Amino acid sequence: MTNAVVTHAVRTPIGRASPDKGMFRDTRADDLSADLMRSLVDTSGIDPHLIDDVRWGCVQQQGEQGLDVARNAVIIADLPVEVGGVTINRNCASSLQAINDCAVNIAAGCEDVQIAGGVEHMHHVPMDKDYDPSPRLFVKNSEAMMNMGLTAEYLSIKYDIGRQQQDEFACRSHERAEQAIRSGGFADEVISTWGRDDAGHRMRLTRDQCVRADCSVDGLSGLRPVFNPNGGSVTAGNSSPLSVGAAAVLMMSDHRAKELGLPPIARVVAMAVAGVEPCEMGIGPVPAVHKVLKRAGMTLDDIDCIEVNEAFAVQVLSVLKLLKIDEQRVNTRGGAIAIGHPLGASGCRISVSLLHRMRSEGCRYGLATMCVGQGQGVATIFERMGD
Amino acid sequence: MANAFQLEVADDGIALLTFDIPGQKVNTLSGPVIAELSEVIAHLESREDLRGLIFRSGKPGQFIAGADLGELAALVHATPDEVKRGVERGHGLFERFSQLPFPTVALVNGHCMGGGTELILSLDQRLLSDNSKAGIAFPEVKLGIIPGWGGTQRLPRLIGIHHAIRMITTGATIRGAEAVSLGLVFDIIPTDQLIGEARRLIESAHEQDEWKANRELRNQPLGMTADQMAFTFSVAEGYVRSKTGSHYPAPLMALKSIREGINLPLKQGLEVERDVAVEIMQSSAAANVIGVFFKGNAVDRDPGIDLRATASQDVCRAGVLGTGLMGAGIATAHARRGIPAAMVDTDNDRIAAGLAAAAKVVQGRIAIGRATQDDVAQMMSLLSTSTSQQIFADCDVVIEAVPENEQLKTRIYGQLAEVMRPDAILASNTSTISITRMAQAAPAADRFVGMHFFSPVDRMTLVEVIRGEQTSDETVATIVTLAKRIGKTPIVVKDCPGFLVNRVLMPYMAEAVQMLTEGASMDAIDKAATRFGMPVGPIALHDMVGIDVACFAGNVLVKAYADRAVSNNVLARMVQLGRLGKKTGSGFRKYVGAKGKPASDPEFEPILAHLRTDDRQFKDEEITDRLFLAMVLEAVRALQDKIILQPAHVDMAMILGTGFPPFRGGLLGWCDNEGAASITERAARYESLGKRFESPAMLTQMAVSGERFYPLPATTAKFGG
Repeated sequence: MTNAVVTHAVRTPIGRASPDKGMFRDTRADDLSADLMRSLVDTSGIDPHLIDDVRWGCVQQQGEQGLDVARNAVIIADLPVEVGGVTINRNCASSLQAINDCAVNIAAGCEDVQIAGGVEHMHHVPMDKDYDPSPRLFVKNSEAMMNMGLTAEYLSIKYDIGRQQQDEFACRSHERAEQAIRSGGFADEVISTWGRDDAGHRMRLTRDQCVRADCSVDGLSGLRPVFNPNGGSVTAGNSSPLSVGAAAVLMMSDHRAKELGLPPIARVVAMAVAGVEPCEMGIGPVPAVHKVLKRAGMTLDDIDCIEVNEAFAVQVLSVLKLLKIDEQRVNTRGGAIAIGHPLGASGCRISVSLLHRMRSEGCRYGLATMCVGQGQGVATIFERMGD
Repeated sequence: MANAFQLEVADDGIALLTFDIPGQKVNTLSGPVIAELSEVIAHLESREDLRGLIFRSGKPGQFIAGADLGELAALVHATPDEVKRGVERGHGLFERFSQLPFPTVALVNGHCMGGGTELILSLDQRLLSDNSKAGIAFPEVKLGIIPGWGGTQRLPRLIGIHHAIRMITTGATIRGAEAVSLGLVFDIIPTDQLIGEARRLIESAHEQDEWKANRELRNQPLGMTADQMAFTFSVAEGYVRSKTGSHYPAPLMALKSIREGINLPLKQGLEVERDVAVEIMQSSAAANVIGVFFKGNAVDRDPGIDLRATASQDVCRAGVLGTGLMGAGIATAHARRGIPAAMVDTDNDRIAAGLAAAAKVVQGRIAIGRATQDDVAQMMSLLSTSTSQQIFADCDVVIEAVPENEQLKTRIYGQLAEVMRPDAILASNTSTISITRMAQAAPAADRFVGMHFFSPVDRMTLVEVIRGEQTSDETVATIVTLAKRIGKTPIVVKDCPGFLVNRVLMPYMAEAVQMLTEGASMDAIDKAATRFGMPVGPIALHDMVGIDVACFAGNVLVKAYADRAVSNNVLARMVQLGRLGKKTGSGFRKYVGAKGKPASDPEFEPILAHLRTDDRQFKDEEITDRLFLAMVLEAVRALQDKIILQPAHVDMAMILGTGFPPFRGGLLGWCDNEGAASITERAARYESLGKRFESPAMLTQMAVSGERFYPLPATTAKFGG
């Protein structure tokens, strides 16, 4: 089987989805995508004519994200017309799916040089915009399964994860992210991107907007539960914020990378998807990780670095509890609770952060996994290459 | 020296250049201003201590209105070489601007048009003020010309081909967030923070070389592929043709300039633009459309009464009698401009229909995004209604808009005399009945006047203000001022049958029917008129206004101008048969389907057959000549009779009231273009048909002397010099 490798991994800073404070409040999702694609091509130095396709995750495919935003962004970025573009939707795992699909194409001898990534502008195109499911979706399920917060509340009851523990994990996410920003941990992955600073000036920005330097468990414990105000535990503080951002990786077969003289930073070892009950969608990574480890012929002991997308603190804690993973290996530069969760971009965002983390931590195998609304989990194992 | 520019240099080496022409309301780029700007640039080029330039206007809400229109008007009569020099002068100036060795920023604080837009495009960045006037446009095509100082080349290189084509071929103004999203400006900034933001931009530009790379990029071809070119321009040309027909060459010429220049380096692209600009400046359409623009200005300044020298009354409240199509439209026009209007009709059903018609006008504007529900509420709150004329007791002006029946009108005037304030003005919206005669029945003859609106009132801007023999100057001035306040273009006309527009239009309408009886086909007649540029042909127009209405108006004019008015029984017979036009489903043509599309009607042919005097073949030339000679000769008679005072009044009234094509330069402008000698000579060919083709003395004198209604400029452009 042909190995798929990643040669470059970048992302935009992640902004808050806010009409008055968001750094990308007047930056469009298609422009954000195009500028990131262009930066990836420029920094890699690859001849863009060699790119076969762009696989771009995006959940709310309408408005500025509509009608195949991948292809639109390719055109906006002024990439050669021969470069394709397909938009991929597996909800929160869309752009991790994009990476996996690239690997599958390479393995199958189809498209070779590809950009995988994704975007979501949760201010311009809200996640529930025009959502209108069939009543038959709810023959056996409560409609509340579509309310991610309530599924998180369900996990806290089912897996017995208390408020205090959630708030501590959320606070850890901010502390780790802040530390990573200060120590330059994201310097290699974040592309300086046009947006608005706190004073409202248009300029190039690099700092993730939702990360709080002043986060404390005390402060978090004062917040009211959002989804179940009476007796709930999931708050705005221990959930991921609504966000705006994009992430992208350049992928190709290992022999193509060699031919082009582009040193790979990692190869894709194995991939998996698994379904779970929609009402406990957050637990999706558990079966997905079991599946991917089996395919890789590994156990969790072989994995040094793990990125679990932080949709909710309770959801990550439930996954870690069931998989018996030590927190120390997980999200050491913070996660979505601090950095943000732009749905269609998040899978690639955690992969980008994972790959850069693997390099600086000098570890060999890394795992990226995430839960998916309506009950799925996706997991991908990477092996570091090069230095 | 115009003393239009002030240069200040701060300690940080950033120069602030303020454009503010003393004594003018707006900044324009006239020859002397350009000469001064050129010296300013030379000074900037010579200084070695500068790190940036901020260009701004010193006039609040006004950035740059564009080129000097007077010079532009002269330019259409200039030689190709003079035009070429004028264009190259602008190109050279802006090229030097674009090459200053430091970052440059324009602060657009208000209207930025034409040459102003070309100026800001030659700078590195633009900031737009957040005030509501700030907007950027290329209105050139509306004047029949193209942006010729780099606009067709620099704009697509900055914002891309599609939106550049849209801006340039439509003249659309780009404002607010759209300007940012198009990349036309860097950002929208509160006016008082513009300079601070510009400084920040210049400082941040010094931290990296992106501005230099952008400059270089914009000097290059845009780099469109053959397919991108072929597709983009065929779509754009198709769209422009569908909107403007073939009579207005400017948008197509602008497209040509973009198409032929965009894939060349900027320098060569500018040469393409120059050649196209020279070509269009030589076209008669450009000269005519610019001419009409000036005629509009002239009418605006002098509508036929000197408003500065004549006292007028304040109008705080208007009354409208009759809530039919015209009455409701008139009341709506007042309410939309914030003037309370009282509507009166005989019963509540009519009033309800009038109010519904009023709301519909604003609803229609909501549909196209030009108004909001608040505007409807605001407008409706200014309308009051009653079935009693008592409601007019506190009105400053009452406009009567009841059906065209002199007895009815004069009877009502008697009733109004009892309720209207003694100092109030009564205006009649009559289109045909003598103001001087009806004045006898009015509460006061000196405060009685005609105020003739055109239908549909919300779209037609012309208002004929009819001065009866006893109408006072103050009354005329008050009504003219009121018409302006409600967004109309008033033109003062002395009372005569048909006033101005109908007097001049009816001979054309009658000639069409006359030619029908002589054997010309109605399609050939209508086509001759639309080919000339009229929005619809005269036969179709009859059916649109209603055969009964046309017949009534025609009879008034036949009686009044018995010596020359053409008369036949076609319309009268049609009225007898109930064929009243589109409103009854048949007239000259029949109207079929849900949308009432016109189709030829076999049932009409036998009706016409009885009234035919001949059945001969017509050449298109004869049809066109007879239609428009009948029109222009009557217009000259009206001017000769001093019904109106200026040729521009005739031309703007016919353009605004009948859709006479602006690219012909107006009716008398067309006569100038053809030459009085040619018009009289062609008219003479038809003199055997009746006195209507006899040239009036004024025209025969002009034919001999070579005089024109609009004298040519004495000297051509200083502009190029």
